[in-house]
Amino acid sequence: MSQIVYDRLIEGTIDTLLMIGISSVISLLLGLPLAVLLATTTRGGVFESPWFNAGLGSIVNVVRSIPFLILMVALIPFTRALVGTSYGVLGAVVPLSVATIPFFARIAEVSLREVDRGLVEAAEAMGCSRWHIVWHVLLPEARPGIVAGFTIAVVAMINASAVAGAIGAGGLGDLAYRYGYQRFDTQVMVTVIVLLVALVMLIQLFGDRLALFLNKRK
Amino acid sequence: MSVFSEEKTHILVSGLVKRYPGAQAPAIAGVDLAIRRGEIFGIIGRSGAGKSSLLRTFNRLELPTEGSVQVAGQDVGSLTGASLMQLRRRIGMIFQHFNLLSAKTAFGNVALPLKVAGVGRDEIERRVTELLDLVGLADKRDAYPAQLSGGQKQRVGIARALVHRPEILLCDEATSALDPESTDAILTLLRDINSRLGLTIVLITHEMSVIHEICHRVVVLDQGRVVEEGEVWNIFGAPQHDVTRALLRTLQKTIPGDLREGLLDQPQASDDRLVLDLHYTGGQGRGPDLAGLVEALGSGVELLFGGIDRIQGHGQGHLLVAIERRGRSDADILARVQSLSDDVRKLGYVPDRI
Repeated sequence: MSQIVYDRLIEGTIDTLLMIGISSVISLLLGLPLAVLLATTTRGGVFESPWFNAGLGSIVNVVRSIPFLILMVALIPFTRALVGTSYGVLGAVVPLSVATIPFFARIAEVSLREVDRGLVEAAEAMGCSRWHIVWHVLLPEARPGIVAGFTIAVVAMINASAVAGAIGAGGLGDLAYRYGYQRFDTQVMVTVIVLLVALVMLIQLFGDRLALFLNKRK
Repeated sequence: MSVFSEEKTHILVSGLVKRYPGAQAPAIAGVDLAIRRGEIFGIIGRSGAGKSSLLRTFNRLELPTEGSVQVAGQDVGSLTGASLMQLRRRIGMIFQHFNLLSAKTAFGNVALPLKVAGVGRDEIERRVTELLDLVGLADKRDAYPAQLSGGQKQRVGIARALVHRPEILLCDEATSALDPESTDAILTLLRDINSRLGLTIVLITHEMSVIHEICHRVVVLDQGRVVEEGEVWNIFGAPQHDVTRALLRTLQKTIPGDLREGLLDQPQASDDRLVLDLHYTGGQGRGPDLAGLVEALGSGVELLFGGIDRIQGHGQGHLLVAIERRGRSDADILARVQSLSDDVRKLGYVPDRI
């Protein structure tokens, strides 16, 4: 491998890590509140509001049903308005976050809904407000599931980031596409695949460990 | 209401009806109750009798459809927001499945009610330590619920329920998920708390043994209605309603098979003995007076089977005795023992040797 390719691989790895890192933080910060809203406004939830829930659920479903490549293209004007460019790391962060927020929210919602109804009742009986219940009961009890769900969402995001790379976002996906697909450079292609596999495995391993550590139910 | 002074009545339930949407029959179909300050009050019934719904109206986990619940003179149904939270801090509650937060230690679980009430860190530390000590779990403060036994979990539940120094403790089938040994220990703890802290305890259960063990007064609930109400010794001694009798049956010893099969409807030999069932309800201070029995009938009285229980100082139960007739008529014998127990029943005859 030439020095140039070697440098590009390092650069691509850093770009991918940046893309994933920033998008993950944004997805967590916006996806978790969305999950709480979805889980608590359903029938029987602490902020019961079936109509609001149906509306919000529909929006989430619409975003989730658009394939990432199309979502990315459709979002270009929005991305430009928000971060000033639709290229590079920043240009990729917007569509990656928009795609991941509802995905992660749905997974986290399931964990939040699975919290035993009896715990909520006990919290009500001890004089907790509804926000207390969210903060002290729902979120801590669902935490292992939320962490596991977030791991899934981040891994899915790595997938999407490679797609984003192909249309100008940079990173490892871009490299694999240009060298591997357009120039038939198998060596670069294989290297990128190995790097991506390593990245996914590391994230999955870390997520599993963290979820296990947080789970006090055993 | 007329029976008890305002002072003594702690929880007053009047004309309470609870209907769930879509359900045919109401869960509670018109209940009136007056629970006194400082007593251990039991609510018993089969599953689906409405016990749980009734208990949950006391701290407004359930909103009454009709009627009202007053706690210390305050109408629970009219409370909202902060005043409802205030009320709930005066009423502790424990649950069948403990409902402890799995992600928090014993200390964290007991501390939570104080934390959400904005109590300071030092005060929390002091109170939680004191409560864990009271329930005998001082050494488990850093254990997670999953590391505790059922009995220990319920102790954490009790500590959590008491941490606000409530005036009422509601127990929702608190011992139904526990083994007999832990059940005894938890009931002893509840009785101890009742006498030491003087708080009113209301418990619901489907087990008569729990009522027997710690309650002062009891209501029997069936299909959302109170079918029987009174002092525990009275209900045990002289149950009036079929449901009460059915619930009590699990506690009563039945006549052993060999004895039941050996019973004859008519005497077949002149020395066949008359078998009587003497019932003691515990009322009027009348206990099983054995000397009196012998005095009334002479010798030749054999105690075949039976047992006397003591509830709240009242001895009650059944004694089965075989009496040598010696030419006397059954009516004569019955007349002699009539005044010695609350109820006498003729069961049949047994041979001289059984």
